[in-house]
Amino acid sequence: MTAPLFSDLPAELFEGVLPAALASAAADQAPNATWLSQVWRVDSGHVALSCQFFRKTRSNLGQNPVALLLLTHPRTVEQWRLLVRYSRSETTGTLFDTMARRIATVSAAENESVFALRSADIFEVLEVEKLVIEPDLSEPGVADRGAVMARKPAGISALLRLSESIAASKQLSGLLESGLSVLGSHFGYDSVSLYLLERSEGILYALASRGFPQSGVGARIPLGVGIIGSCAQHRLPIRIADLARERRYDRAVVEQAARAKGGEREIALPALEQAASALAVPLVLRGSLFGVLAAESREILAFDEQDEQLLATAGQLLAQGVALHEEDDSEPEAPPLPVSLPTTRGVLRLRYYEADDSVFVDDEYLIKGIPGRILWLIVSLRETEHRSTFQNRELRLHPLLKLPTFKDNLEARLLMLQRRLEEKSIGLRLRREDRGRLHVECNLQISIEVTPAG
Amino acid sequence: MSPGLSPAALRSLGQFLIQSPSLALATCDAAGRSEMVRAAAARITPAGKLRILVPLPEGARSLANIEATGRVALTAAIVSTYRTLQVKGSGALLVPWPEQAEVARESLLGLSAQLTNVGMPRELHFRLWSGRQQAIELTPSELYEQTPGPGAGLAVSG
Repeated sequence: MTAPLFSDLPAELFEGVLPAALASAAADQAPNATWLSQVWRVDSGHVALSCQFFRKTRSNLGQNPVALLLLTHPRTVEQWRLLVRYSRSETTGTLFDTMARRIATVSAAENESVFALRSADIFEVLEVEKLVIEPDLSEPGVADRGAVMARKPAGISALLRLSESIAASKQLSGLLESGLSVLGSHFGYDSVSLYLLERSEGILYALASRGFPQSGVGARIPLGVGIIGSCAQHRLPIRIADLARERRYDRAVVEQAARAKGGEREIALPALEQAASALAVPLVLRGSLFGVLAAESREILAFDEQDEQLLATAGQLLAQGVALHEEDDSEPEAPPLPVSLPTTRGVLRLRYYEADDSVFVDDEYLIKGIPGRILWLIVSLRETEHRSTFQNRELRLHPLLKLPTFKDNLEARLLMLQRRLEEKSIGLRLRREDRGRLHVECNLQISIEVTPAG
Repeated sequence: MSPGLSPAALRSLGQFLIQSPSLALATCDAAGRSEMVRAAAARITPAGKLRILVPLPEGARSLANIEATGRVALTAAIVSTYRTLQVKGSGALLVPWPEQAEVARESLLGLSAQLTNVGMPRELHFRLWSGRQQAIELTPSELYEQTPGPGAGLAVSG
């Protein structure tokens, strides 16, 4: 039987779902065994191990550079032995940076210095052997079902369907709704969320989501924080095949989970309870970070390399669609609608905090940041100028909003604000029947208060 | 030659092994070539010896190494908590173990319960190693903490 080639080994072996194990030996043939969090495939003839805790292993490799790796396929539990020879350790460079980022994102715990990557240890692969295992399948309920965790197919046809749905959308809201829906129906990504970067704040805002217990629209996550923030900061996809396994070490997952719960002044992120897999891809337009598209699943190993490429491509289509809607500045002229009189006797009490642009409704947190500032502006204008129609153009230019003169994402921000108001059902709504215009609807008397900064 | 583990360390190890950790056994041939196989079960005997079930055919070279050198290292990790210990010993011999079928099943079902909890389909658990197994017995002489963290690599005294 021909020995398998290292380059032909399945990519899943290097996902880190089932830990690999390493055997090394000292000069006196004393063996040492250790589990490894992950093995990287460097090229067609080398693997890299992250040197995080190896004491005895390093000592052994100094005496005897040949070691043995045991890898287990996470979908079939087929196993391979790799006879490897220690080649060198890298403490800088692309490989080291990639591994360090991965560890910074999905490892570390109480004491980061303990878990920091010391080096990327490169090993030459000398031999590859697939183990012959003859399992006892007599246990009741354990049938010979082969590879029981089969992958779903998805590809060009799904991308075509997404592209068509984006092309057919006349409004940003429709684009997002149909786009995320296609990600579920044609790609099999049932829980997805789209984040947009607010460059002036260094914050990502959840613009839209699908398939989560709470939409999380308007939720914020800083660059570098959690899976979403780390993906954005490094502009690299992050794929976690088994959150349960990685949670033990996982600062990013812990941070993400904390954010998912929200807080006094935070909207809870869109998140699945008991998510097992996560995938986040950066969205880059014209060389600049635009946002992040993320997917979660309750299954382990839900996302592989193909999903990473697929979601990245789908994300680029969505990002370009969103950007096109921003650029379409055709704003029909129409007479402004007057402010409708309150039809009920209730009062809507809004409080605006200048310090962080947060808006509270009857002491309950609503939104903050630039969307909060926008809400504050239009409600204030409504009260002082007695009108309920606003042009995008005037908002863009209004000094209070301090929007950037280029790529202000106003359409997306207004959509986010509109959805947040709808979700909270506070009696205040934004209606956007025409491009470039929005109407403020409220049947309550509005009371507005400002808490100055400082 | 190490005098062996203290009674307290042996007790610790024995209690740890009955929690059905995931096991990987390292050996080495006379030329210094390492070998590794998943072990099916491990227990501390009343006499303070370490018994390990090595599956076959995938463990054939490990058994050959054991017959040649008598030295082994076994790393054991509890899937649900990541607590990991490594035990080393020498003087390993192939031995009969009349209760090995019961021990193997008990160990596999214990591990299976943990793997189920982390989302791995049950059908896969029974394919991790072969049903045919050979017991080895040795004197455990060194015990190390291997749980990721500041204590990794430190000797366990008891």
